[in-house]
Amino acid sequence: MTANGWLQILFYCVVLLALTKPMGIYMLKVYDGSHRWLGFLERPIYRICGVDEKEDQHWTDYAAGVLLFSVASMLVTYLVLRLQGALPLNPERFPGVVDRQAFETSASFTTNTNWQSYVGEKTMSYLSQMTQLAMHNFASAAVGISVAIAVIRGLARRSAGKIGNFWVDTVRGTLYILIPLSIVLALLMVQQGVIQNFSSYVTVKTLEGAKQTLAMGPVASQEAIKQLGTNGGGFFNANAAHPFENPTPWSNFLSMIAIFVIPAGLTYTLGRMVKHQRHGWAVWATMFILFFAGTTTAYWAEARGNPIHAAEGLDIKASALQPGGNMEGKEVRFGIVASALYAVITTDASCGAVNAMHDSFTAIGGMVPLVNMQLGEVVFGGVGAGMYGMLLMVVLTVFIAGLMVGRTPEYLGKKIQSREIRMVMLAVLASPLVILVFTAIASVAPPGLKGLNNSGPHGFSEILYAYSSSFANNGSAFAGLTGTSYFYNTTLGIAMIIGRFAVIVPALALAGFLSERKVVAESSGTFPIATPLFVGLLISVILIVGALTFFPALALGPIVEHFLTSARTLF
Amino acid sequence: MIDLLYIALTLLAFAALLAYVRACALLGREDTADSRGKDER
Repeated sequence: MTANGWLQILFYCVVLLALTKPMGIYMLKVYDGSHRWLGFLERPIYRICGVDEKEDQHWTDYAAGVLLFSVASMLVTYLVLRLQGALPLNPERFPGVVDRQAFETSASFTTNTNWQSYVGEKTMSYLSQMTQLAMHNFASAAVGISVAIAVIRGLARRSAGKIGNFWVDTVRGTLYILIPLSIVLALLMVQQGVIQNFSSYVTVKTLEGAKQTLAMGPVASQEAIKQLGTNGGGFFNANAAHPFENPTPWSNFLSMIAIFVIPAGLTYTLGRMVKHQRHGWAVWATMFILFFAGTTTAYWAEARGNPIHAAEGLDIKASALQPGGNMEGKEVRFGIVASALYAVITTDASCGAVNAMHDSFTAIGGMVPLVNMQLGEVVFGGVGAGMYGMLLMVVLTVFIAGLMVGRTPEYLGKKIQSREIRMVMLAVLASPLVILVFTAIASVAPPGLKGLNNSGPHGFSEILYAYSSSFANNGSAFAGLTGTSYFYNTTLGIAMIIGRFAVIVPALALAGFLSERKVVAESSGTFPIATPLFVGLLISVILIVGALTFFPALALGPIVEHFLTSARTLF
Repeated sequence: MIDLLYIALTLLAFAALLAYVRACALLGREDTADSRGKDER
């Protein structure tokens, strides 16, 4: 680890902190309707769609809106991908996407996962990329923020189950937040050298005299929303490691900031909406501590490098001439710290973009992204998804604190009783049910084993990573697993759908139930929710729930691999 | 044929999720039993 590396991390943290409040205030004003500078576009959308913007929906109607919007857009994407060969904007004349990949991809982009089992530049027409995949990048992100705002409204209001209007929230999130920010970021990306064109692919002669085809396309516009919406699906197969997607350390820095800016801002929005700003900052601090711990661990593991190299007498120390550590699968223009930091950010959030190959990380370095996803991506998290996931953990924490002292738990003046805890447990239990069961099946069933390229614990980690990534709607991969089969395409697609909506539904239910509760005055027995004690307890609950659930699986994968690597065994 | 299966699977999954919304609403009905904390009784 170097001083330069720590400075890069510190600079990132300072910029993130500085952006939290302005972003939070802006989003607050967008969702409470006081920012209407694009009203001339917003109002016609409601008129055309027949939306009554003044209607306040019950949580069940809100949830039904989320589900109907998602299933309709998923089916349209499936059909467009299958039929792209007969549709325009296809200069390379790509045929329709294979059925199993069309299913997985439509599920993947609808659920904000963006897991890609295809090579983008060899599979998707420009029409598919722009009207379907990029559209979902906006829509799925807007849906996530809408749900988070609805859950916060449930905490803040006393409204008999009414938590806002899904259609209005989604339009406002897209129109006022995602589109303007994407335009700014896309222009900054173009300035850094990210390409944006509709050219046919270019064939060039390399220095060795060979011919190479360079893929082209509207990359910058997709790159911007890919990061801001924590989508992560790359235009190219190499994702953000590709020089046309992420050419410079500055484009890399902008990408990392873009991933966290909305989730971090939402903590401030939370504080303002529930009129308890210190609580908002306590949630920010919880997320930051977990993020910093993950970053430190991944950076340490990658800077330390492969112990076998050290044992063989290779010089893996950082110096003026080399970055040292484990540079396998990393881009030299980013080096170890920017690769480790990016890996942590992309898996803390549900982004899944990668600028280095996580499969090539050391066992402990690779375990950090895996754990981040298994914790439910509540460390800033996906746009919206991180916030409502974290609020579920907050309710659980307050409940446990109440049990400790024998009082009925209350959160923001609202009693937490059995029905609220039922919803939290439904959301929490969905994760092990899907990840561990599918991992177990894939680890023994022949079609699951067929996809493995590595044996032993590393192979197991690849399967565990795939289902963790799919359920958490992350989309990054341990690239060693060949996921292009009916078995993986279908089961991963199902895991994505359950991972997204089996958490959203109980989260919205929780919001609806809490909105029905009357607010009771704070008393001496009320558990304070803006103190270091609260932050510590919340972190403990997140880690203990995650550890109790996934530690045995992690022990079979990256942990045993770490010890075996130290004993000079590779897989 | 496989296209129809995938479309059916998608519709089935979301139908199940809509049923899940209903199930959560039923689970959320207030208990008739006294669930107040000791301090409130």
